[in-house]
Amino acid sequence: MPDVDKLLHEFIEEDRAGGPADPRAYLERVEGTDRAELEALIDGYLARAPRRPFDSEAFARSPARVVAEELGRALGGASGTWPALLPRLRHRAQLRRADVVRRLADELGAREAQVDKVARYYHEMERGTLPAAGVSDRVLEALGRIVGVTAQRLRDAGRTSGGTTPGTAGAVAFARVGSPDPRYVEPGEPPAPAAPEPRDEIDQLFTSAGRD
Amino acid sequence: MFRPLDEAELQRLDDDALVGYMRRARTAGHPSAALALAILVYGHWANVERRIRLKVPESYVEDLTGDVVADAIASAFDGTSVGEFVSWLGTITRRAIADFYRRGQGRSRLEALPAIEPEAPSEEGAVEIRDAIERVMATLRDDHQRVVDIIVFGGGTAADAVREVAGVTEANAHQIVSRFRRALRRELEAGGDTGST
Repeated sequence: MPDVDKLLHEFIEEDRAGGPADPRAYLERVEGTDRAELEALIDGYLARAPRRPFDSEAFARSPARVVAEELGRALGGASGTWPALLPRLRHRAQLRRADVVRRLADELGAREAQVDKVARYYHEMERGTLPAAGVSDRVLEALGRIVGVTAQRLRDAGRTSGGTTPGTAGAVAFARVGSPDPRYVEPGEPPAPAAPEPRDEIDQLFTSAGRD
Repeated sequence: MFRPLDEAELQRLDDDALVGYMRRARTAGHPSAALALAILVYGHWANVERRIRLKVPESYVEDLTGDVVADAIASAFDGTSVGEFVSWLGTITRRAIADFYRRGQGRSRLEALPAIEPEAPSEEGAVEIRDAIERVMATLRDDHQRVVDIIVFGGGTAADAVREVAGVTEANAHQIVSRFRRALRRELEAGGDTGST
């Protein structure tokens, strides 16, 4: 049976030669405490391993691109990490954006004529263009029930990273991370109002928290 | 005055400098912020993913990796991370794995944790989520930790350790590594590893 030292060195050599080496192929060759030891050592190596050199083609095919895309919207926007969080929560809850909007509108007691406005605000939350500080607890509580997290979790995410005010610099800076993940993208932007709409309770709920 | 860097220059920056560059590029509205972010995410993805795959069922690996990488970078970007980026990333990874089991498989980490944990972990918390390697490393002096890093995790030789660590001989280096490995096996045989499948 190969010894742990030899396997660890082979793993590191393969990983440095271009890798990434697959730990499982090495772990399969040992058992018992040897296996546990090799696993711990490989884990220790990976925890200390330097950043891998960037490869734009591999990045484009990697799940890392999706995370970079979401993070780019979050870091460049005004909504904290909502652009990284909300599409993934929605995806995990197996809900389309239209489903979330409809349920959110119901929870907020929106009239039929106000559903498009709810859709626009929710879209802005996912795109990182709606200042998080203005969104009321009532919206976050309702949204949390729909996607399965607490309102506090959403509030915390809204406070994290990105800008605190809407602006173009951050959006421009992170605009070219990648194209949106097709799993989360749905065709069609929320319809813009045909004419200026009077400010109503929906606007209040999404933009006026903390102003009273 | 912001000076944009090209891809080759960005690749040469260490992680913390890359995060600093992202902040400056964002303020300047310069699109190289996106490239810096891509370099950081891509560069750590495979290492985090493989660490998580060692501990977590395959169907959860990609999601949990995304959570960890996103959390670590977001908190480093907004200045709420603790210490160097790579250590912070390790802390977030261990917490995410420990939490995966604490909360029960199948429940999203996003469901249960604050987005980012901005505060420094308490000593008790840090100990609780340490894995066997970190527990054993924590018992070593700093110079001995460095020897272990060079020889065991860096694939170096005792001669490399002698060159890099003052006051260490090749014989010392071998002894330090042997003691570390014996202590690690004792730790593993005691079954104290956290979060292992």
